[in-house]
Amino acid sequence: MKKLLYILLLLPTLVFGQSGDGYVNYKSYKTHYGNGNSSTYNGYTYSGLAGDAVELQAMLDVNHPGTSLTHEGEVLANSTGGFQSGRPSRWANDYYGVYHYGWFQAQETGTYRFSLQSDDGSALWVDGDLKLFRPCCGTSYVDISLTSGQWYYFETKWQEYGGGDYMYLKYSPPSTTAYYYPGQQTSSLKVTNIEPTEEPIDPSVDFQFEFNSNMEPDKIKFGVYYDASTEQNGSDWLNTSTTNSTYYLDSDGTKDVTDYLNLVKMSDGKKATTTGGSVEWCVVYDYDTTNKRYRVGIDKREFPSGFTFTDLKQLKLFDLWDGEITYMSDDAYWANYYIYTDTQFDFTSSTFSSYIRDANGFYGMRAEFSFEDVEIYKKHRLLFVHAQDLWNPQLFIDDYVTVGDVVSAFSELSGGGINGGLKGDLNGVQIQNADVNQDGNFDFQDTFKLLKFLQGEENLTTYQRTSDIMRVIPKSEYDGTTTSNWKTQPNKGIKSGVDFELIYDSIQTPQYKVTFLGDINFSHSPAQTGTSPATQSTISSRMMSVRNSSTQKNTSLEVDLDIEKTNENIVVTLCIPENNLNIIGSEFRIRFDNERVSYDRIETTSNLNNFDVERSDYIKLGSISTDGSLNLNGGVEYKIYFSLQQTFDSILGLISVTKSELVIKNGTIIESVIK
Amino acid sequence: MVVEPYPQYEMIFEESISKVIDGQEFSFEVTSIDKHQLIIKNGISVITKESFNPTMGLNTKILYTKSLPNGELNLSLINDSLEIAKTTIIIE
Repeated sequence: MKKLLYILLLLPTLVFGQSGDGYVNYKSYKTHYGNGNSSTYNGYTYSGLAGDAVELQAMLDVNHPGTSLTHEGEVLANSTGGFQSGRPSRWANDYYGVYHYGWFQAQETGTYRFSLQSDDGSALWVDGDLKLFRPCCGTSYVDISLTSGQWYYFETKWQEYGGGDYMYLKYSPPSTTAYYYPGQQTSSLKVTNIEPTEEPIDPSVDFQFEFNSNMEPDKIKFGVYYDASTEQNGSDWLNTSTTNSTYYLDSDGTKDVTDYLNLVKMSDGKKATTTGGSVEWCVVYDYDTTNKRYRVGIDKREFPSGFTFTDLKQLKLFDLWDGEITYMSDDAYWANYYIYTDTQFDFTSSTFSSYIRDANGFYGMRAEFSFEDVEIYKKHRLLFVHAQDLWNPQLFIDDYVTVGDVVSAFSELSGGGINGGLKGDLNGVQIQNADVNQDGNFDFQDTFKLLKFLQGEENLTTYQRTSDIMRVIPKSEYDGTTTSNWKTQPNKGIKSGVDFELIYDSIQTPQYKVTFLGDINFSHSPAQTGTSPATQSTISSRMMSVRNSSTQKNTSLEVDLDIEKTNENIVVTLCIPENNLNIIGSEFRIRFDNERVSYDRIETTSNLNNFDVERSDYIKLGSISTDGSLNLNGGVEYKIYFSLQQTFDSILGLISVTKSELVIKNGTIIESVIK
Repeated sequence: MVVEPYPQYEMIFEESISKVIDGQEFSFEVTSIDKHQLIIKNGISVITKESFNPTMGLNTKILYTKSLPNGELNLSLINDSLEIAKTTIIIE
């Protein structure tokens, strides 16, 4: 994380030297004509003691005939000239006022309590807002929420009419009840009389991707790309690295991509800024409530010669609007634009109201325009990419889309009873994952597609790529997806990356959750925050990118394994014993040394819907009863035959069982142990 | 830092842990000619096995690793349901 760095700049308008840290500026005034008389200016009169902040302000206003500036300079904040009694150089000990001002930086985040004690009245402003007025004589307090590292402009004013004279400003930081004068304890509050200016900070983006704990995020690769559509080389999205680099996530799924950003800005038209003038160069028509917009006309004589009117993209119109505008049209005299806003302008309360004329249907604006170039960062995209060496999508899909998912899908779809509808076991994201044909509906087309995938008759997606199965969803959307809104969520489909915009002077920490198309039982997806998935798969194999996991345990069932060699074959026998668990789905994965043996066939005693699918070096096999009408309570035997490519004296390790999954009707996984 | 690989031993059960490679021969001695089993477990589940009738004394078998998952696995020699020897093998 980048830290804010501050460069202290001299204010050129001040005539005295400024020391910076620990100091505040001050001005002291003779008030009440120096003899106690009241003063009247512009119809307002101040007299002896200030009754409120307005009267106090008037006493220190040199426009008042009774007030004049006598001294100005700097003092240590933690001194008698500062806030230890508020008395810097001054003309006398009666009929005077003092103005202190500077900047403080909170060193803690939280509530600071400030106190003012004065004789006579005093007041405190922070960032221009009056926080506290204390009439003579006593102490008042105010709590102010401050953010660590942030600078605040602060001012105090106080006045002395006669008698005792003092002003004390103290604060108590969030971490203690002790009080300090500004400048007394820099570990809680820093003070300076030189305006702090932030060093420009480049955008920073630190992604947080949440995966299922079974996953190994540091095996997942991504690239960072930028929108190059405005460049001449043709491609819309280019890798920000000239070497087309890709990167791995950190093990916790996070990645700070700040170093991979393209910070070269591009032109984005012009911005117009207005100041008060003498000629009505601008008109704003009455608000269009139907389209929620204003039409703004700008006299063409205000534009520089050769200006392309469609280039004007932003407008700062007095204090009424500072933002985007949309080109409408232009004619011989006027260039017209729209300002789209849900909120109507308050012309009468504008500080520029004297430059605005209500002309019954439009407002005439005595505004002078200036124009400047607008530059913006290019749009960026983080895209997860296929890393063949570490991520085999076909294997991964077979790992997370299993008989448990298919049973869960059928159970959910048929569970609504004769009235239809869904059973209600699955959450919104699980149903999105179950919409495997991505047509926006979860129906029997999806369940049969899942069944065909399980049986090896159809691929889950056209291409077996990361980009065809991954669903990267903003965390808030993921957690907020329900069975009611899942169809209308913006990221309901496949999405293997995220688009993001760079924001100047900003540290972004976008949060996403990553799920996968077809992962209906959430075996490889993170749970929604505050909920738990209805079903969860057993992960028994040590697949690439998938960790072994302790699994949801129900009842454990031992499956017998036998491997024997005949003259022509190796026969693997898997035997599920008689049981009363109502198992309606089974799936095993048998890996084999495809250079020494080849898959031949399978024989089974199961009367369920059986399947066997051959991949390059493994087969998946098993049984399923999609409607749950049949089960494996009577036990079942699978005999898998492999042909020998050569003669063997030993067969140890030629074939192994790397996955075993048994599932009951509601999709719950029964833990199985191969013996 | 250079990590030294685990040595490969012919008498595999004489070591508590050893790295194995595809097609590696390994030997062990038995004291009966009854049917024996070599089994490999990943955790508590058996992933592969071989049944054989040994010769008295020294026996040599071959271990194929291409179908096995990478990492640490447990290799055991079983006779009459009794585990008579065991070791850990590492597959990289």
